[in-house]
Amino acid sequence: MAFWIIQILNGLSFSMLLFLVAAGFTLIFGLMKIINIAHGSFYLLSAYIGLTVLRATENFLLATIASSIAVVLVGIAMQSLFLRRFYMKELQQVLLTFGFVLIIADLCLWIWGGNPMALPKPSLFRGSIWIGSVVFPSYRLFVILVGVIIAVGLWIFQEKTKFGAIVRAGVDDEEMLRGSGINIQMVFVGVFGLGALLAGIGGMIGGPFVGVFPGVDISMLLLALVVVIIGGVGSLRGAFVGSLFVGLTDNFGKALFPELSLFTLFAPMAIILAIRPTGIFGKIEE
Amino acid sequence: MIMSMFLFSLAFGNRGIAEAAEPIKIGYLAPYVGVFAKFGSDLRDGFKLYLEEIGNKVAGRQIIFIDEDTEGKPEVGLVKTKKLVEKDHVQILAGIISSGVAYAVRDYVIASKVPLVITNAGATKLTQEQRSPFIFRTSFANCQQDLAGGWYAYAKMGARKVIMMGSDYAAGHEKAAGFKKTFKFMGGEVVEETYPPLGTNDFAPYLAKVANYVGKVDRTWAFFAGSDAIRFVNQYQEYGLKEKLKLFCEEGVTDEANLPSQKEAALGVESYARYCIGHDSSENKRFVREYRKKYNYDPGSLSEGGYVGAKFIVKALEAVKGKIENQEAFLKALRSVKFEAPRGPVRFDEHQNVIFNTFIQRVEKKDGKYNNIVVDMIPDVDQYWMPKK
Amino acid sequence: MKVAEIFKGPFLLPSFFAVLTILFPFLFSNYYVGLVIQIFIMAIFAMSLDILVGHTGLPSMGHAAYYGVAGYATGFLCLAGVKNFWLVVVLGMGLGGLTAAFFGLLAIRARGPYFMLITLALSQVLWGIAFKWRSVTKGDDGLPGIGRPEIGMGIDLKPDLYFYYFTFAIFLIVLVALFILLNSPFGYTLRGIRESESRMKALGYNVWLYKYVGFIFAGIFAGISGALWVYYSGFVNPSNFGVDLSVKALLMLILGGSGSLFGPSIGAGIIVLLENLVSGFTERWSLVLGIVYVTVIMLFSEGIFSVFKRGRN
Repeated sequence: MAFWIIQILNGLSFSMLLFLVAAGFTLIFGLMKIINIAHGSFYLLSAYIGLTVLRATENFLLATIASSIAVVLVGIAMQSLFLRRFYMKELQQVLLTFGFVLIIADLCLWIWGGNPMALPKPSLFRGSIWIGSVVFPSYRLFVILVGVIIAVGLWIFQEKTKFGAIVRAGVDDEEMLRGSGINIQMVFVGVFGLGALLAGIGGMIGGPFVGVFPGVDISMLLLALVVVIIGGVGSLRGAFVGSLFVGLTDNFGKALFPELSLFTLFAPMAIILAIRPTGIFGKIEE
Repeated sequence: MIMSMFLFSLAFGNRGIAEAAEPIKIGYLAPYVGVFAKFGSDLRDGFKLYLEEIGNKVAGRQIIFIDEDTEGKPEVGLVKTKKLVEKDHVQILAGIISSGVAYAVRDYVIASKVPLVITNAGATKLTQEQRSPFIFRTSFANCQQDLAGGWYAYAKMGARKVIMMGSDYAAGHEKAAGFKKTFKFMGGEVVEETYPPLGTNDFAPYLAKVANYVGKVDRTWAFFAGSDAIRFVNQYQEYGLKEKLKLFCEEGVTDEANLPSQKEAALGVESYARYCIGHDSSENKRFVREYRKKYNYDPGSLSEGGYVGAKFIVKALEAVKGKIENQEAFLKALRSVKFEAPRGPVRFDEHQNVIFNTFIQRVEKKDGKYNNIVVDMIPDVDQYWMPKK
Repeated sequence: MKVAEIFKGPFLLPSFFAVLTILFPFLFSNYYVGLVIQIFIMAIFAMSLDILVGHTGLPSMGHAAYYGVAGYATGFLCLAGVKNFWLVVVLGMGLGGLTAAFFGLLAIRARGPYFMLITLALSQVLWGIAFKWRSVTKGDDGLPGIGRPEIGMGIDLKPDLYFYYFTFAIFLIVLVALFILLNSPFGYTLRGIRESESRMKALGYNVWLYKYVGFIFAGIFAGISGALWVYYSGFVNPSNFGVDLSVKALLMLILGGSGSLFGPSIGAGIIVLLENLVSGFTERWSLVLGIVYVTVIMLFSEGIFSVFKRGRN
């Protein structure tokens, strides 16, 4: 029994991290049709900046705020100065993001070195707690909490705010959005910034248990890709459900069938690709 | 612009070696990005420390050190090796951390007749079934210290049953095989083996299974390196396993490179190692002092590995008075080199793999710093070591 | 056409390069010969992708899939003792085409960015299989020790010099084959589809079928480059399926100019040279490459080749 509780909680904490990264990725693709290969780079940059601020101030909240601001600025710059010029030219946009991956990754390597590092946890959550007879790190519960709060926040944003409604409309039908007279470029910048913010928060939240090191940008991107394919592009609900699915399957897969661990990640994606390529909640492209 | 860059490097890259007073070029391969990035720079720092101690000169010839990044990827390693041999015309190759890279460059190195001194990669076959007169190894074979460790766990720690967790790549499997061999030879039982992939973000699912074995086995054997090792040790403690089921690891898990990120999670963890910073010899004390002074951080086993690799090469060069062009004499000299390294006395076995003493070490905290101290020592361990029953 | 005329007009530049290529190994060292071999192989890869990108308007982001499949096939066959080049390359081409046939069924129903996403994901599935199925593929460690093939006629391909001319010959054959394919009615139809799918449909063409066949051709030709690469490097591992490889091929098309005969090859040349030479000058080569890519895309998104073409007019 204890075994199952731990595994479910583990899976959920990993799912919440995945959600943070995948949500931004899916919004950016859903609205702007950009495959943001640099999405993992936001995670990377945020974790490193957060680490530096954390070492200087020992204040996790402050570090998160600082790294989030930095990453949002980078994201906004990326979109408004570069990607915007290739509106509707998805190929060039994707290639630009690839160029940024190289730039950001190498700058981070230059500044912080190649040594893998782990962010120290916020002092409140350093210990482990007892759940029945099992020991579980309290930090992971914190991750689940943060994930749920942000998921709820995003839901409110999407369903209840005007900006959210615009984004929803744009994901569904971009032409309509263009014709509606709303400044579509501002919407794009806003969404790109939001995506960067989410991935950046992911970097801070994931930093203590996943760590930060050269290459984590690509691993996070790959995970976001799997989640979005399974859950459906452009859909926050899909990102949430997809993250739960991937996080739990990956966790139980590793625990029960360790020899197949990467397979449990890619097999569902392959199946969805074969049957319904735009994912569970995505719309079908004719 | 690209054309001019191309022509520029054609003009300057195409020079050959003129006469014997010319410098000796050592081509060096290590990863500076990826999971092993820190190990790559540790290894290079150690290597260069020795070169500087001798003034970058041997027998009147200057030593030129040419460094290339393998990124830890075999295909990149092969490309860089070709560049060092064909463009830079190096006379010796050294370095290599990843066993995958080592296996990938082996055929090329032998065909090009350039001696390779491996200063880390433990790929066992390279000094066993796939050995060659051109391939030397000054670090360890993936199984070497593990053979000693397996015996020690049974004979001295009293372990009878273990579970094993190792990284899922060539080195992980080879090391596990070494440990298993002697442990089972002595009569021990390996109850379960798990191999999480390299770069596993989250060991949680595997650790929850380990919890089932508390009270049923005596030790958890572990081998992970780089960022994996940091995560593993930290998470092992988070899940309350550290006190309940003790770890006995390969040195990479609690290497000095990782301790600043592991801290209390690594405190008290025992491992077996070819090098221990706490080894109480005058040579080691001198080495640690010089290393700290120059680089401002503690040397780990990779640092010492690089240092020893450079010293082997230079001692051989001294023996042939710098005439590396006489390759046969140089190789013969290299085979016979022996000296006192920071880890203790070292020399090559018949298959050109190094022999050394294996330490049993433990992580302790002193003055707020975490370092390994020596607990015990097994002398003269080579790649084929077996205990006397 | 008289011999002298071949060296005039539109044939001048290509002829110059052909002569330069033949004389190259006598002018420069083995290291540079190796670089040019890589350029030929990457050029074939880029040209095969251009069938989709430049001529059909299908921006595939997973092209490395067919390259990798042929590469692993080559590796397995070689390590099993099959030395005949022609046998292996035909199998490589076949498997590349077969994989494309399978992936095409899944991907072609999508358009634009969705197509890109699906092709990316499909190639990643193959990457995951290669990475995880250690018992067969040895995972990330890969399969080393793959020797040069035998092509009969008593020619030994082990020295890079001979392999150079051999690769050059294959490159020329592929160039001619693609020239014929893309200037045939089939090629014109593909370009018509790239211009306007609805118009082609209205004209009665089975657009899906043309796209599908184009997709398979792309996979077949990519397979050739995949096999050649493994023979050159002597090694295959999951990076042969890598997303960075697929994206690099797209960059080659953007840089060199897609939709043209020589554009992909020029792009391949630029990228291979850039990667290898810049790393010799600075440790920050990855940063430099990233800046170069971003700059080039921002300034020359139509491709450097077409800038020259425009310049000449």
